Amino acid sequence: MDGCGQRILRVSFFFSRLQKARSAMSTTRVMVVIAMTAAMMAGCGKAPEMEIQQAQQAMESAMTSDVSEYAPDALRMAEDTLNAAKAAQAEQDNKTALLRSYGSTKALYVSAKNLTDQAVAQAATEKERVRGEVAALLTQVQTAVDSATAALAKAPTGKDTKAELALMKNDLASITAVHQEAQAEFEAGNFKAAQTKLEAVLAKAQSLTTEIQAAATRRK
Amino acid sequence: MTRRLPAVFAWPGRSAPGLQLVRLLGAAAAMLFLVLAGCQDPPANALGEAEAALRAAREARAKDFAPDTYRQAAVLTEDGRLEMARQKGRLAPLRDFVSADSLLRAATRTARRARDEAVRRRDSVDRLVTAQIRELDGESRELKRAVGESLTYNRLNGHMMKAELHLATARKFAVDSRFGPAQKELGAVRRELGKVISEMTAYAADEANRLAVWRKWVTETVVASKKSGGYALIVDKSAHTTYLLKAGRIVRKYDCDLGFNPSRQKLFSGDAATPEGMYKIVKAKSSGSRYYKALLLDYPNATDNERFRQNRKRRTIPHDARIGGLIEIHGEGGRDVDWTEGCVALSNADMDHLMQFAREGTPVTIVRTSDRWP
Repeated sequence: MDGCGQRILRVSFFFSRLQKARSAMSTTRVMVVIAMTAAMMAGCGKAPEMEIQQAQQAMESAMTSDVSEYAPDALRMAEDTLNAAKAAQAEQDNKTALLRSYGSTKALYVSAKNLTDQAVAQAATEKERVRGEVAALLTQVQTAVDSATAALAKAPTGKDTKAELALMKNDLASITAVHQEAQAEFEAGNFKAAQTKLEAVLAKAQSLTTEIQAAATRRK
Repeated sequence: MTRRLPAVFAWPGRSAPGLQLVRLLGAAAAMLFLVLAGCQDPPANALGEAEAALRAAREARAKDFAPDTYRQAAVLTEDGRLEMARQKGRLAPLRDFVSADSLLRAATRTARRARDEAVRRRDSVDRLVTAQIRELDGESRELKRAVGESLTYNRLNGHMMKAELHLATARKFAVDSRFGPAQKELGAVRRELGKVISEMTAYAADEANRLAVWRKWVTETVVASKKSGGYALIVDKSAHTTYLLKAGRIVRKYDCDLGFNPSRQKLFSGDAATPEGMYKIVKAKSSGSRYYKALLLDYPNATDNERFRQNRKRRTIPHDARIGGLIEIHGEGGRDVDWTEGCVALSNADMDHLMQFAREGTPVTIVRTSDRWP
């Protein structure tokens, strides 16, 4: 090969070596970029364990109490949000690790927990309201029973009135017995059952007081 | 000699422009196919239908009336939702929503079945509870009438009142479709009515046991009146009737009121029972009686005293009880209610009539019931 040819060969060799070096550098850069991206995305790829546990525990606790009786709609909303959170989590779980992002999943679990807490608070408020209503009704019935008892005590006694009074005493004893059953329901926290019983007792107690007062008036 | 590839496989730039275009289009089509082949729409409509069906089941109270079917529907909906989410997480070409779609359609069918079951069962329970209320109401009225006509009503009135209260409460629960509590109240109604029936049965048995004694007393009184040709009185407590006999034949009947605890033999003073036995009039009061006119009886007689002594010994009566006395046939009656403390009360007009014939020494026999007359 002549000098010219050798020179051409050397230059070609040099350029091919340069091209290889350049390629190697590009590959390295690309690898570095990929590694950095992976490292960044690894942080977004973990399920929000703490938020999941908190939301599920809150829901389990709400389900075992009487939230469904006193705040059914609020509980339903919390349940729907929790279901949406689980669906979002399932979607992310099935993505390749690099593509996972649990941001909105975490937000949904947090929202579910908050809604559950709100439902529990709402139920407590409503239960307290019903409790107050039934307590007032209990007082009303007790007043009616006391009124009937007092009227009986004041009713003129004598041979003529003993029979009527004995019957009314029997009626009052029966009303008192059912009143006590309603009281037991109230103390057991069955406010709605107590309320229904008390409404029936109240009507009878008031009617008995009127009867006793009418009988007393007749005997005067 | 250099071998050449067919022109179509040659690198671009080395073949004809038309062929280049064909190759490019072919590659694009292949890529598009690969992308689209894996793409399916997630079954959002099926999820919406399943959720709507579950909501409808809940509103029909399927949780209470078809709990197993409802639970099944809820689980299928949840599984379908999760499966759909899992598939959405996969790369597009790998997604397969067939299973999710199938689960959600099954959820819809099951939720609709739960709703239909709930509606059927609720109607059925509603009809059953309404029928039970109607039946017990009828039974209660019938018993109240029977009790009212017997001598036991004062004793049994308390049970009847409780039964009425529980029935009223059951009705309120049923109106609110709270059938569980309604049936619990109906159970209480049955228990109270059961006590009434039980006591009336015991009372009837007691009556059957003593019937022979009362029949004997009536017979003896009638025979004695026939033999002497004189007057006698027989008081039938269950009939609320006092019979005036002359020479063994009934000449007059008087309606009478009794003690307000009439179903029993008198055991002690204050028990409000009219005594049962064979007595005589010891004093006739045409004036000065608190109750118009009165005929005083010789209660307690020897039999009454012996009974009282035995009961005291057995402690079946209060330890401080007294046997009592002052049992009369007197006026101010005719009230159609048992109100005395043991006396027999006639209307004033009937007392006027009776006093013409009854005097000291006239026999007075008081029985709980008299079904046979000689």
